[in-house]
Amino acid sequence: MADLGSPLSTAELEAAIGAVAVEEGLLPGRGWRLNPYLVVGGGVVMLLALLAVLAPILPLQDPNALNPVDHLQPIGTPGHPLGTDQLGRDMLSRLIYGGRITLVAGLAAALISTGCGVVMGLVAGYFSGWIDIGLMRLLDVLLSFPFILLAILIVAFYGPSTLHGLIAIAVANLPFFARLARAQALQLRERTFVEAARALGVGHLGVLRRHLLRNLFPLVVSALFLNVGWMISQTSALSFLGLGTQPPTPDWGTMLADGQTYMAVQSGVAMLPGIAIVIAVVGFNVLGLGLKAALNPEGQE
Amino acid sequence: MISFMARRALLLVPVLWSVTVVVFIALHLAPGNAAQLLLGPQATPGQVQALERQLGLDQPLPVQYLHWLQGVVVGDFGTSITYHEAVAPLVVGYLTNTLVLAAVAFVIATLAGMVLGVLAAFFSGRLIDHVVNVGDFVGLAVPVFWLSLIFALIFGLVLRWFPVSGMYTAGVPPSLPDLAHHIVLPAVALAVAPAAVVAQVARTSLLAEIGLPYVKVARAKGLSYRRAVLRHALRNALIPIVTTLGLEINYIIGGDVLVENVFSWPGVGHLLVVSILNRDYPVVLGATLILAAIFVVVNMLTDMLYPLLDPRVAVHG
Repeated sequence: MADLGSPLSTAELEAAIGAVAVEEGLLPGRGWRLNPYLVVGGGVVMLLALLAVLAPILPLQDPNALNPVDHLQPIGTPGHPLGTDQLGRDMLSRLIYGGRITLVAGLAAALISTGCGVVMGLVAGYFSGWIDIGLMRLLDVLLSFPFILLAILIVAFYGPSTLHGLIAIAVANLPFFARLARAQALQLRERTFVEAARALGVGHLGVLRRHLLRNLFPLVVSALFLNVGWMISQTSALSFLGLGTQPPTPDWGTMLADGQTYMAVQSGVAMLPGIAIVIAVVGFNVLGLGLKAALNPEGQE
Repeated sequence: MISFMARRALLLVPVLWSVTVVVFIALHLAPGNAAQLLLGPQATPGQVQALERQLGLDQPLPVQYLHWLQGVVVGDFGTSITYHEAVAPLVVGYLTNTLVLAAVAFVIATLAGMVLGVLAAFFSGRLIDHVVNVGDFVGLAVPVFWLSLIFALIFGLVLRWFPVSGMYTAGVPPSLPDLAHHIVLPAVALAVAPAAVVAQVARTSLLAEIGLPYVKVARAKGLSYRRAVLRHALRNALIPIVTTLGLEINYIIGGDVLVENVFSWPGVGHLLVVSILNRDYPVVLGATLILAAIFVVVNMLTDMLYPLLDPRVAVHG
């Protein structure tokens, strides 16, 4: 630490405050610890992401190429390893291309709701007073709706599409993140390092960004990944109801809606997209648990 | 206690009121004008103008809102575009079917979740505990609509044990055994996720109680482990489980919309989705308002139940 005789520069003081925060176990100072959840979940998610990104250069058939002669072929058909759907489209190709839409929609919904929710919660918890009351009342109203109804209502008035579906799911889930962030902000604002930063003349915005947000980071990241799975499941549900992605664009939810009609003839069309959703949901959930353990070694909430 | 309950009930008013505001704003923020939305795309400009005047859409928004709210308060949600019936009785008719399904799912979820959670805690660390834990994880990860499809495929289409569509067999007078036969698959599919939640909470709560000194005292007095856990710890562990009932309702209302659509169950969830696809906005608004109101009231009731069960919870309201 600097010689106490000379006044410390703001940067030095901030570094010292940061060091105290690390010692108190508030910041992830020890780096990441690998754990089995992180490896398994990360592996599954990485594989799904690779398939989605590489879809255009993989040797796949056109996911929308119709071939009515070879419709509803079973799994293991030569040329169609996972069979074909009711219009003779290749299931493997549709699953991988559908994954692009489903995964991006789920991830985007999770990012939007986490981002907006955390900002709202931080601001409400940090400033308290009427800002807090106003924001929290607004969120209480959102929470008093069963979230799927809220999502359905949004889609009903704006028309079904992938974008509207994911925004609807994001808005409906926003209150959970806001509450999480607010509870943390309420505790953090009483900490000495926040007081010290304020005393040093750091503005509210600086404190929010540099001190509160950084301290919240581990919690936010694990909450984000724990919720991507849920969002994938929910956006697929909207698509399944015909309120999200519209045919012929492949999406695991719309594929399941088709599958429902034709599963009596060929069960693969109803099984495969569902298995894909479960793999993605479990993958993200396990990754979220792994991140929670890795970023928060003391297990403190 | 009575004043606590009365205050809780009064809190319902602002919450329900804000629900109507959200629904109203959703309708008016929508692209296009409300009259066009309400009449559907086939309406002529003359019809649209007439309805605009009739609904007072040329009035300022707050006036329109008060007008609409007046109707909602006396149960007038307008007329369905597709069914040409008043919305309120129409929704209530479908609602009865939904409540039957939800009630059966609720009972299954609560019983199965409690039994599994208690077993897992009782045999903590043993095989059955691990099985229940993995089951919880999977039960929460599998989307309810796919689970419904799988049930319909396996138990309906392949094994032919249960019917996969509707509430009663067509052409036969409705009977209770017929209803029971039809309700099994949708109710069990709907119950899986909430059962997983209940099992988790029951396990954690019972394990926490088992670790407390009074259980040790009971054991030291010579009580068997089984009696100490089931007679003493379980009673106290029940309290946190009651708080999950509200959460259960949340899962059931959310899952209901999906399950009803897979099994063509003639309930509000089915009506809601059909109405959205038909652009039948009065029905969408009415059904949403009624479901949200039920949700809010049930959550309040579980809140009220909590201090009744646990005297330590302060009732300052």
